[in-house]
Formats: sequence, structure tokens, C-alpha cells
Amino acid sequence: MAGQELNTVLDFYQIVKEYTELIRLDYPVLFSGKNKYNSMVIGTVVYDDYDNDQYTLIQVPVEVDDYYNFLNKKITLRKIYEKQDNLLMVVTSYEGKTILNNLLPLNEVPKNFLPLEDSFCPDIIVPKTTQFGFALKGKLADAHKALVHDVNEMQEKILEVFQQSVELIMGLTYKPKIYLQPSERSSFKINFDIEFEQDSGNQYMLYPIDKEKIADFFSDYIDYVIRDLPQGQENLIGKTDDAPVFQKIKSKLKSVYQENNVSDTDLEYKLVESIAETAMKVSQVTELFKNNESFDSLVVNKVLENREYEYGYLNQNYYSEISEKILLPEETTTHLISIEKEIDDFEKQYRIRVTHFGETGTGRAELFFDETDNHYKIRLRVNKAPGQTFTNSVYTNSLNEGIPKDVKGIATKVNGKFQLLVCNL
Amino acid sequence: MKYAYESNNPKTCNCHDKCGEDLESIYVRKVNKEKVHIKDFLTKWERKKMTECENCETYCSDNNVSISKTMNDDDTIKVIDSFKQIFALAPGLKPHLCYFKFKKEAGVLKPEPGDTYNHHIFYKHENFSLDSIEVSKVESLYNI
Repeated sequence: MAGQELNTVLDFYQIVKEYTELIRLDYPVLFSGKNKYNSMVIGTVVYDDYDNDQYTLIQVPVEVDDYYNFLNKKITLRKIYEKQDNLLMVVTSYEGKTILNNLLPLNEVPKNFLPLEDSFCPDIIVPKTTQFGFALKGKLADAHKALVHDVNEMQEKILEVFQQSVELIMGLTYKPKIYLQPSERSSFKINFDIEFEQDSGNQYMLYPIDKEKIADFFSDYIDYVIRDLPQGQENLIGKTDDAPVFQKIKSKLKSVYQENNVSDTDLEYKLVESIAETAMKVSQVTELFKNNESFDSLVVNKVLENREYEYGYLNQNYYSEISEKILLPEETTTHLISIEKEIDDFEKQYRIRVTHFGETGTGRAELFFDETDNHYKIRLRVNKAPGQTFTNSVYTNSLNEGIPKDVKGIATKVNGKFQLLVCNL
Repeated sequence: MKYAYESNNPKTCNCHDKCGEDLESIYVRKVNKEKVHIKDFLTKWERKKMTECENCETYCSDNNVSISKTMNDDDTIKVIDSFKQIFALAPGLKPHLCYFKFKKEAGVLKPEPGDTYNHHIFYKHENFSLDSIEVSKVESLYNI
């Protein structure tokens, strides 16, 4: 390849901006950045030749979706490399001076320089922190521009995510306060810091409450909504025994409640509901990507001591990734454009088995849609007139006896599946 | 005896305030070969042969050595697992794990979040050498 032609090809492989160390062991092991055409490039240090004070690196351009699929453990680094005609092998001095650039097809790269078949992104140890950064990606944002209206709207929606997410811990000794932090000049990042401040009305506590525990729970909670729920296999519609990450968060919340002398009755139900509500707020953030001119995705970072840990990626797929894993909250569904709702025009008879029922008349049930045991897990709301009581009602009887009962109500289907039944006592 | 950072860093900083020696625990570091070499303990600062110190943030974050602490069998498994995940990305990059204890005046260290389990950063004493550590085992990640 002639010199100029080679340089043009190399431009696709070389990082010229937004260099990010993804994994570092006092030197970078896995890194990424953008080439001069604004495309993503990913690379690894594959050999440390300390006899000659040189590193060998492999770098390849990568599609944005593949890059985040890799970070989200959906594809391996090996698969990314296998998609390329050539890999760029670079030898640099320890000081960073390039000694050799060599474009090689995969089968000519030394075997021990190539990732293994199971080269999924490591569990990057994201620190416990309640500082978050949201970097705008795609469309105008890639050219370092954004319409003021689009950014403001996004900021508002992210704020709603945090406002929703602190609901569970509002009544505690430490009050969560959400701060907006200034972005660095010329960066499209929206930064939030959630701090926990002692409630002045509670300053004569008999026992000091561990503030770190609340922050620890909150950090895990946000991780779950942004990363674990959409990417993992855990489903919160039915029993959660097979959801270990959820169980871990639940036990942390339980401990926080116990230390704060808050009743932990119905804790699982409250936590599942809260996660569903917060996930829908995140869905509203990702819904904005469709119609704005400025960006089409967000990279979520956690920030600790000035280092940013990239750990989540939100795009338009978020809703489809979570919608089968939670029961959609009644109030928030209407705000989403992508939801197709069918609501009964009049009361119909349904056979349901109530699995959870609260004093306010809300709960969960299994709705049987044929003569078999096939059912949908649904949200149940029963309205009552003042003075009426649910005691000995068909709903509490179904719950206590564990058997299906016939009731009349108006059902809502979302995307063809029963989600909600509203009845009158 | 001085720390390396004291010789090079003219400004005072508090990066080392919570550091201390630990002569009891076993630490693990990725190394190139079965025989440990002093260059396995080079910091980024030393590799780049940097001399100018712009500020403590740059200096202190580049002039330390990444290690992981193991206190029991469970820790060891988790530490190995985190190194194995990195090994899968670049199997030729320092494919051995060196288990060692520090001797007196080897340097100081502190826990700090990082990309391996129980990650710690280690600030070397100025005359740190392989005699400053007691290596108990070196094993190849290809065999674990």
C-alpha cells in the first residue's frame, strides 16, 4: 500500500480524541476513543516488552452498537476483532512514541495477542458513589452541539428519574438532596450529585445512623434500574427468588429501614413498585431520543474523585428491554408514545387470583384468560366508597384462600398483554 | 529513607495521608514471566521517564503500582477471577500472577477503587527492590 493510501487507512484505526481508559492496571489495558471521522475505536495493550521498553497494542474501529454491546457483555472483544478485515498492531515506546504501525488480517496476528473466545468485558468495578454524569451522544452532540431546548428537556427528565428514585428513602434520618453540577466547558454532560443530609428534626438520635448505608443502597438501586434490569435476566413480575441482584438490594434497604426504625412491612412490594416507577421514568428519558435533533443516546458515568467510570448506555431499546420484566405502573404508561393500550369499554367478568393486596385497594393478581392455568400477572386496583371495607371481600378472600375468584372490572392490555384490572367493591 | 514521591513531588499533597505499611497480607500483581523482574513493578511515571511534576494529581495517580489484596480463600478466588477477565482480553499481557508479602520499608499502600477486586495502590520507597518483597508463588493465568 502506498504511503498516502496507508495513512488514509490508518486514520480509521487511530484515536485522535476522547481517549478513555476503560481498564487500567497502573497502565491502560483496555481503552477507547474516536478517530478523525468521529467513529469509535477500541484497543488493548497486548504485550509489555520490558526488555526493550515497548508496548504492543491492537486497535480496531468499532460500530457504536457493538462497542456498547461489548461494554454490556453482550458480545466479546474477539467477535469485534473478527468483524474486521484487518487489525492495527502498533508498537510504541514506553514514552508513547510510535515505532511501528502494521495492518494485519486476524489470522496473521500472533495468537497470544488476540482476545480469547470468552473475552467479555470484565466486571469493571464501579465504585459506590452517588455522583452521576450523563454524556449526550449521537446526532448534533457528536459535533459538540446541542439545541438548548433538547438539553433542558433531557435535564428535566433525568431529574425526574432521581426524584422518583429517592422516594423510598425520603422519610429517613438523612434526607436525599439532588444537586445539579456544572459541566466542564464544551462537554455535553449533565452531572447530578445526590447527597444525604441529616434531617434537622432528627438530630437527637439515640443511635447514629450509618449514612454510608443509605448511599450504598441508593448507588446499587440506580445501577439496577440503569444497567442490571435491562441487561440481565431478572424479572420482577412474579416471584423474585431467582433474582439475586434484586434480593441483595432488598436486604440493603431492609437494613436501612431497620436502622431508621421504619417498618419493613411489604418491603419487597414497595421496592418492586419503586423500581418499576423509576424504570418508566428512564423510559421517558430514552423516549426523548426519538424526536430530538441533538442526541440519540446517553452514556452514564459514575464519578468518584474526578475519575469517571463508564458503566451504562441508554438508547431507544431501554423500554423494550425492561417492559417484559416489570408490571408497568398505571400512571406513567400514558406518557409513552410507544405503548399500545387497549382498555375495556365496559366492565367484563374476569377470573383472578389475588396474590398481594394492600389497605389502599392496590395489589397484584393472576388473571386467567382461558380454562387452563395460563395467566397474566397483573396490577389490581379496587375502588371503594367511603365507609366500605375490604374485609371479607372477594379480593381478600381470594388472597387468604389462594384460589381464583370471578370479579367484574375494566382491564387494560399493553402491547396485547393484560397489565391492569380496575374493579369497584 | 524517602518515598519515591517525596523525591520527585515538590508540592505537598494529602494523597498519602491514609497510607500505611502492611507486612501481613498477601498481595497479587500481574507479571510478565515466571521469574519476577523489578520492571514488573515499574510505575507509569517511571516507564514514561517523566521528570516534570505538574501537580500532585497527575504525579500521584501515575506513580503507583496496582495490586490486589487477598485476606482469605474467598478473596483469592475473587482476585483471580478479576485478573482472569482481564487476561481474556489480552492473554499475552503479563500472563502470570505473583503472590507476595511486603517487607519492612518496602513502601506504603492504601485501598482505592480500581479495576480488580480488592484493588490497592502501592507507593514504593525510593530504593524499592525485589528484596523488598517476599514472593510466595507465581502462577500462569493459562493454567488457572
